[in-house]
Amino acid sequence: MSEIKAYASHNIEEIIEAIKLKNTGLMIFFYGADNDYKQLDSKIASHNIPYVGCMDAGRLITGKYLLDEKSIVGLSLPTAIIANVVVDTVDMSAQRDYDAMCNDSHDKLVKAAESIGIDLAKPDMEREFAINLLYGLNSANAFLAGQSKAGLMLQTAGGSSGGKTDFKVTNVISSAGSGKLGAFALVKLSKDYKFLLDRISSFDTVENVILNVTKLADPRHILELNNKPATEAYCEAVGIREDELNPDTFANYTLGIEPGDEERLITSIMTKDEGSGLLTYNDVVPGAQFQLYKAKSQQQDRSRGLGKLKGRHIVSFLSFDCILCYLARNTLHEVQAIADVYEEALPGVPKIGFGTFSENICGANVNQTETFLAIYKV
Amino acid sequence: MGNRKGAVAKILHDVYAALCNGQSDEVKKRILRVQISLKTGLNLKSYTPDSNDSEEDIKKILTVIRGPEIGLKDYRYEL
Repeated sequence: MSEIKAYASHNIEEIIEAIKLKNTGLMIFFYGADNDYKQLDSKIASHNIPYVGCMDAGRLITGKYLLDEKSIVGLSLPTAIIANVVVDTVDMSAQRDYDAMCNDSHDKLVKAAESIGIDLAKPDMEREFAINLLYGLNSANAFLAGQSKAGLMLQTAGGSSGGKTDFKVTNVISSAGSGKLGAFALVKLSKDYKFLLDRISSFDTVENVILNVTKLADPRHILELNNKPATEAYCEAVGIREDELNPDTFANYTLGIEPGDEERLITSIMTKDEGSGLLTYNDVVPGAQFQLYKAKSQQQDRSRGLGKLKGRHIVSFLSFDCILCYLARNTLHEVQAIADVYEEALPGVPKIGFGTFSENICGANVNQTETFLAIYKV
Repeated sequence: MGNRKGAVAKILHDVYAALCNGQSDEVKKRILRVQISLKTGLNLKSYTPDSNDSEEDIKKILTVIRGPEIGLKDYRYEL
C-alpha cells in the first residue's frame, strides 16, 4: 500500500516525480481548466507509462478537495497491482454520429480485451474492469452502448470530463491520444488484488409524484411531462410558481428512475429552454417514468456508502463525482466535512477524484451521483 | 391493451437465470436492472409478482432484453 502515491501540485513534473514508481503500471491525472492540456499531455507522455486523465470542475486528493482551476492531481498504481492494462481512445467530437461512435467503442474494447486475454463474455467480476474518462461536451451514451454491446458484464466506472461552468471547454488526455476523446483503461488486477465499484447519491423521494415524459424534442430536451408543458408539470410537482424557477431549483429537485434495491439513476435538469421545455444533462428515453427527488446533505449517504468498504484492505480509491455535487457542497458549506468523511472511512488510503459533467457506471450515464472504484488487497 | 399479473417479475427472473449463473450474481443482476431501467425509462422497483403490468411496459422490456447489449434475441414471452 505504501507504494501507491497520490500527489497534488501546479507543476506536472513535480507530480510525476512524486508518484512515479520503480514499476508503474498506470497513472491517472485530473487537472483544472486553466491548464494547457496539450502541454500536460506531452510532458506526461515522455515518461512512456500508460495513463489517462482529464480536465475537471474541482478535484479530490487524499484529505481535501481542490476547487481552483490551476492545480493538478495524480495517482500511480504499480505493476504489482495492475497485472495488465490497455489504454485506448474513441473520437467523441460533435460531428461524429451515434452509430460510428458506438461501433468504434465496441471494436476498441474488443481489441483491447483480446490483447490482454480478457474474455468479455465472461469477465472476472472481481479483477477485470475499465476506467472511462469521456469528453464532457458530448453525450456518453454511444460510447457506453458500444462497451455494453462488447461485454455487458464487464464492470466500468468513470466520468465525463469537466471544466468551467460555462460548459465551453473540456478535454481528455491519455497515452493513446488527447482532445475530444473518450479514453478507457482496461485493467486486469494481479491475483492479490480485487476491486469494488459503487455509486452514491443524496436525495429524498418526493412522495406520490411520477413525471412521465410524454414529449421530447431530442434526448436531452423534454417538452412535456404528464401531457403538460414540462416546466408547468415540474413546477407543480415541486410546489412553486414558474416565475420562481432558478438554477437552485434544478440543483435541489432532480429527476430519476429506480432499478430496484433502493438504487437511483439520476437525470438532472440543466435549465429551462426558451419556451416551456426543460434541458437535461443526460439522455432521456420517451415514456420515462421519472420520480422527483429533493437533494439533501451528502454527509450521511457518503458515510454509509463508504461503509461498504469497511473490513477490506483498501489500497486506492478513485472518485468520479458530479459537478452538481461539488456545487452543492459549496452551497451547504460542507466541502471539508465531506472530505473528512473519506478520511474517516479510508484513513491514509491514497485517493484521487474529479468533478464530472456526468458520471458513468456499468454502462449507465447518470448525474448528481458519485461513482467510485476501490482497489483492495485480498 | 390488457395487463398481465407478475409478467415483468417473471421476465426478470428468466433474464437473471439466463445471464447470472456463476460468481457475482448480485453484481450481474444489478447491471441488468440498470440497463433495462435506463433503456426503458421504467422504475423496475415497482414491478412485483403481484403487480398488474401493462402490455406496453412488457413490450418495452422485451425489446431491450432482445437487443444487442443484453442479447437474448430468442427469448419468448407470449403476450
